[in-house]
Amino acid sequence: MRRAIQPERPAGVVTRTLAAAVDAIVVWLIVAGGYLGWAIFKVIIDPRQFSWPDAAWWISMAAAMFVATLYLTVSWASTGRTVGGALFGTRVISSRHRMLRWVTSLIRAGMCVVFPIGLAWSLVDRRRRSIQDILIRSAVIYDWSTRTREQVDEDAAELMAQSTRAVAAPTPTPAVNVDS
Amino acid sequence: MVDDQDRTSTAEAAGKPTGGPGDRNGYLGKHPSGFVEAMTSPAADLARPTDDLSPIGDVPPAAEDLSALSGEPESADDLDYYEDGAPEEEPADPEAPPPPFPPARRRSLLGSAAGWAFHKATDAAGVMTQAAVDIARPVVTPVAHAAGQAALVAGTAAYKTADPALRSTIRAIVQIVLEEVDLNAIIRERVDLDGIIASVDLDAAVSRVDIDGIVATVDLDAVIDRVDIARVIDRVDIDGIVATVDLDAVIDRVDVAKVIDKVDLDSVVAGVDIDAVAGRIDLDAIVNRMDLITLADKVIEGIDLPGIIRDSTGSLGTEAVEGVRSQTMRADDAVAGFVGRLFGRAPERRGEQQ
Repeated sequence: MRRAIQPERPAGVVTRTLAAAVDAIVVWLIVAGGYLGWAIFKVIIDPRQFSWPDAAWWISMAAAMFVATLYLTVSWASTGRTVGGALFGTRVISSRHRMLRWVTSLIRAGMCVVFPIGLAWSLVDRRRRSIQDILIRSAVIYDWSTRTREQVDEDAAELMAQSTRAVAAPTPTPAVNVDS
Repeated sequence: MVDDQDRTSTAEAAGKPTGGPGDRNGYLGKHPSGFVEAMTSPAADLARPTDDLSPIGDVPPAAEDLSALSGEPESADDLDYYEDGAPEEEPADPEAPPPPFPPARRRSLLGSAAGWAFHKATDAAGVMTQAAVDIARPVVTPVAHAAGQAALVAGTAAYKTADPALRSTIRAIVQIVLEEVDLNAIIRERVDLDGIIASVDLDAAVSRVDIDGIVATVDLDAVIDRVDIARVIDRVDIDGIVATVDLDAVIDRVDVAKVIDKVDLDSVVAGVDIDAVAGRIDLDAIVNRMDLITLADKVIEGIDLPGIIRDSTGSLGTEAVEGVRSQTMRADDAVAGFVGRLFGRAPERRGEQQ
């Protein structure tokens, strides 16, 4: 039985902002966990000289940005979605409807961490693309399915074939495939 | 010798009363003057029954009288009397004095008279004693009674005074004796305790005891209140008792399912202070016992990270999550429509390929 391919719609600024907020919370929890782990490590190493780690603000910011970049990279390259994306049903794909590669994911993650305001461009962009999406040639779509990476690639191939056929044929074909 | 017939007739002829052997009073008590007449008239008294006088003297007068009257010589006078021969009987002379009594007869009569006098003197003494008692009794009785009361009071006072002193003295003496005497040593050395115990039939003694009656009179509640249970438990060798118990056999007999059915686990758990129990758990000791490295390896090997992500993603597809997603999707559309109208764009078609 073949799955039905749902039409890909770009996610709007509201959904993406909420998903980004959830991801920010996740990153903050990871950083806090790391801070607590570091404190526990200090206790284990030298309990009598224990004091809470007092890192400079820039170090904290750098650590948070590093964690966020790593978190986003792994999430987009592995499943195409972060925790926030999974919650609000969005997925990051390439212009060819495939999952992002690791390098592409890393660049996009770094750009999102360094210039998060670029998300605001999706508000006015006709295809709801952010600055990062324009530069990387990526897209954020609604995807409530639980597809695997392989299934996403298979669907991407099918969609590309449909696009090719649509270019060749004057009438567009429907975006939804039928069950096998 | 005069026979009874003659004596009787003679006495009757003399006008004297006659009587049997027990009619002494009838002859002597009622008519003492007869004795005087007999003494002064020996002829008439010869016929007097001598057995009436016999109880008066120590010697039965009848035997003496009979001996004297038989004519046998009993003394020198009698011998002289008989040796000289009996006086010849002279012709009866009415004016002649009567013949005298023989000496033995005279002594016999004197003895009887002495006995009679002694008897009467004794009677008179008794009468006088009784009279004296009757006279003295009203006087002596109150005096004796008062003297008795006084003696009783004095005795009581003496008893009250002497009793505490005697008791104190006896206690002191007993105390001194007990201090000086080692009763235990004496009993051990002198008393055959084994023999005593061996001679006691304890079974019979116990069988006589009404244990039920004794127990019925015992206030068990009061006894239990006085018992120090903690002290009793401290003395119990629980380890020793448990060591003698065949727990396997006990467990085999237990119907565990039946026991569990009877247990109200809800009430039991409700009474358990879970926080206190958890507070007593030494988590460090538990963690130290665990091979965390091996456990972590097994966990990592068993984790299918992509599967977990897929499952978690799928688990999010609940109605609530879908509701949130739908709401945000409609918000996106509303915002996009607002922006499109703001920029004068045509309305966005849903499902448009980006």
